[in-house]
Amino acid sequence: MSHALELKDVSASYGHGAILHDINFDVPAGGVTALLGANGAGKTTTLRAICGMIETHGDVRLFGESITGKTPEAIARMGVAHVPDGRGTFTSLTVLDNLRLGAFSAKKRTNFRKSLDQVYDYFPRLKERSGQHAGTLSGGEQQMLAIGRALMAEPRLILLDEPSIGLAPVIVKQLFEILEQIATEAGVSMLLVEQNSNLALKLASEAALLEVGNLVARGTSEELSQNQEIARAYLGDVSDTGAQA
Amino acid sequence: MTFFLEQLIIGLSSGGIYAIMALALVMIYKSTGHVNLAQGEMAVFSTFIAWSLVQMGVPIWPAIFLTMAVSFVGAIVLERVVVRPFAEADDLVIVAVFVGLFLGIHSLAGAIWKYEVKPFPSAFSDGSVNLMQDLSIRIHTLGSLATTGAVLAATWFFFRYTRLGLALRAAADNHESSRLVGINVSFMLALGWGLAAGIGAVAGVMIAPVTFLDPGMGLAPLIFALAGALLGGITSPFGAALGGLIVGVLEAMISAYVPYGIEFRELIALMLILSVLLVRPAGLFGEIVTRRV
Amino acid sequence: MAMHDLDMTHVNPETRKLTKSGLPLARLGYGGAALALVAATGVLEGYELFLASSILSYAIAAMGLNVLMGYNGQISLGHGAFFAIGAYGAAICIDRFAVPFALTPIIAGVVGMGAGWLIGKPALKLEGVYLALATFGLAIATPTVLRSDLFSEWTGGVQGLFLLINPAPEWTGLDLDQSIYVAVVLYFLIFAFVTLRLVRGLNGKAWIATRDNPIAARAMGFDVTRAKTRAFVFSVLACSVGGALSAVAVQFVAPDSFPFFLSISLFTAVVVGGLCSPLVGPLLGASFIVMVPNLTEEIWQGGSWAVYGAFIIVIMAIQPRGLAGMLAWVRAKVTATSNND
Repeated sequence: MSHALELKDVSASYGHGAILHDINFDVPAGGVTALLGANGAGKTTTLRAICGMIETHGDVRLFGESITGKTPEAIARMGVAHVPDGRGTFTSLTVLDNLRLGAFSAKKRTNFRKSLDQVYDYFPRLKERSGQHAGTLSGGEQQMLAIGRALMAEPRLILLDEPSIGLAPVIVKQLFEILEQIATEAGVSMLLVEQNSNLALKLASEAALLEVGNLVARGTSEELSQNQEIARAYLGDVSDTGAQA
Repeated sequence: MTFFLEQLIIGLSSGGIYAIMALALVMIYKSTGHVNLAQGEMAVFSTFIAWSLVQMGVPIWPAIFLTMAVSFVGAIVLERVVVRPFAEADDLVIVAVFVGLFLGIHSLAGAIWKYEVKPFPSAFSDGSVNLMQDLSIRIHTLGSLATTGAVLAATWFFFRYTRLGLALRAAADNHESSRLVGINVSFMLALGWGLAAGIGAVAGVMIAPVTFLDPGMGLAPLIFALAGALLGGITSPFGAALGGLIVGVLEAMISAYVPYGIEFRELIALMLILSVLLVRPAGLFGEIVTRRV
Repeated sequence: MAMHDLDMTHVNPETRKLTKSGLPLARLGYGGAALALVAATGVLEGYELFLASSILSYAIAAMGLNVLMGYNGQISLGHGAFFAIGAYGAAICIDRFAVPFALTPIIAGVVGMGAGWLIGKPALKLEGVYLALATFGLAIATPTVLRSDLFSEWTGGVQGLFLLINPAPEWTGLDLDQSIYVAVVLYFLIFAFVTLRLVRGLNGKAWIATRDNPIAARAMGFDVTRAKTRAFVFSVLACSVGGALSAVAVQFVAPDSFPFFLSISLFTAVVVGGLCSPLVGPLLGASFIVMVPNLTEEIWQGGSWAVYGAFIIVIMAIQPRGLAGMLAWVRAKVTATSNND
């Protein structure tokens, strides 16, 4: 089976404390993997390690090619789009400029129009707001913009960091429907970091569970959600489908 | 009335030069968060390069463009070698480094071109035109005004419609996100310096025919440009340019109508800086920058 | 990374060493240094005395500015303005009112603090780089004001004022240069004593706390605004007294003696001498800004600017605590090796 992303014995650290120890997991090509864990487990650190923003040891491979030690901009140009936590939109720029920036590292610049139409198709709201400054958007719209911007790059892999955070449950539901659409229709591989594990496990085919910087479980989404012990300890009550506080 | 109009045009013309300088300050401030205290000295240094080229027989316009190119490259090197190592340092260290740059560039200009005042040729023909009865304006004044317009328009076009301009704006907005979309932020910071030096050179060659050329001529324009940039908002290119124009007109009016006005121009610019910083720290069009604690 | 950290949270090595080795010994050292300064009156002659007077007057100004920038973290590029106000204050006192020269620094200090209050009241609301920008403007504006015809009746305009200074009474046996030098040493010793007391006392703690973390300082019960104001007022006082003494030493004031470059020189003295070194730093810095122009200007006009610039950048890169910091480092090395023997 081919992998979009493989992590082999990846260790990383930055700032005060947040540390990863020998992490191993992968994202199947065209599939979605959920990365779960409590606050401070190292999920965001893992994403930052993948996209080259912190010093990383071990081996990170993108479609078989090692990207360990490359700069974030080089990794972005290789087809990894990152939707960071806090969304990271360019607040003083317009929505359209944000989307243009998404396409900054796209391989074919001629596809710009097509990608833009596709993004507007997924998120009609962005089309209405295209001339507005990103800083004036609501939280949900900013998240749409961040995802839209990622799609503009025609990425091979999207890293999503807590897309549901701070959003109303009804908006989260819409957002995940669109994410599912993107995953199935466009065939983009995704690594999804979420606190809301129920939502994440529904979207993802595989999952990995982090605990204070260590990988404690990995498997298919089904295996993880059915394992009673893990479910109770880390994933919250499986029957609870709402967004957690 | 004609006297007022004359002063207005002169004010707009020198205001245009401050506007260009203010724009140069904004370019560096937006991308790095530093106010380049050496901006005036850099412009003076560029002007001396243009002067040397003219002395060697290069026609004035090619000399100006060549100077812009040299300044562009020189500033990129300067940013890379001298300023970049201090990027993350404290305010005090950064200010000290800029003071060091200021002194270094100033004395280098003095060492190469000496401290005697030199005339600098206008890029436009000599003489003046009669705009109406009793109102004749030097062609250089009008040409300088037109040049300002051209520089501002070109800058606006560059930022608004080019891929590189967009990347620069993105880098100024958010370093991390820019890297995540594949922009080489480190290069953008140096590029900001290069552009600032390039357009600063234009300000220098426009003002030198009026004030004459000597190593100390950068100070007054710098304080007026600074006042303009702060008035309009040091985060807003449009605001800073407008602020520069306002300060230029204000300077002309005060010199013309206020007793002892010419002597206290700099003091008035200082008062303006202080009051803007106190009443509206973000300036007329700037954004309020939240400070890290 | 650490090389650019201006980590001055700790008590500076000079101070620490003193408290460790016990005060009596330190007092002896200070007393000895003070005596040596006074004794120099009989040893130095003419131009040397003038140079020493200049260095000490600039050192007084630098001590004040060091409190403001080093201990309190406020950046000023314009304290030359207060130096000029002090100098002109003293000059007018002597020229108009025939005040004995030794008393003029007191009047100049009062006048300077008045001006400092006018400028400081609004300026102190500015933070970090913005205060630097405003004072940068002050530095550029000052010479144009001094040159103005509006005040020329008092200031002598562009020509300036020559000062007729009477030496100390005959029974002292001091000639004019010596009298001036003795007065300068006296003021220097007073300021050295006061500065040390201030930075080592509660004021110093309030200044450092305000600089490092205003919010925490407030939470700890320090009045941040008052701490900043006190640092500013003290720096202005020191600069105007320094300016007055320097005018007396030169026996002449004119706008050209107080150019924009003067403010930059004072800034350079503090940064090159050593931030947060209350005594040694300002002395080294003042010697630097007096001696460098003396040595370079004959060889290369404007060369002192180049030397200042190069020193500032190199010092910021390798030792942000300046020459005093390097001295302390060398001393620590020497002690370490001699202890190992």
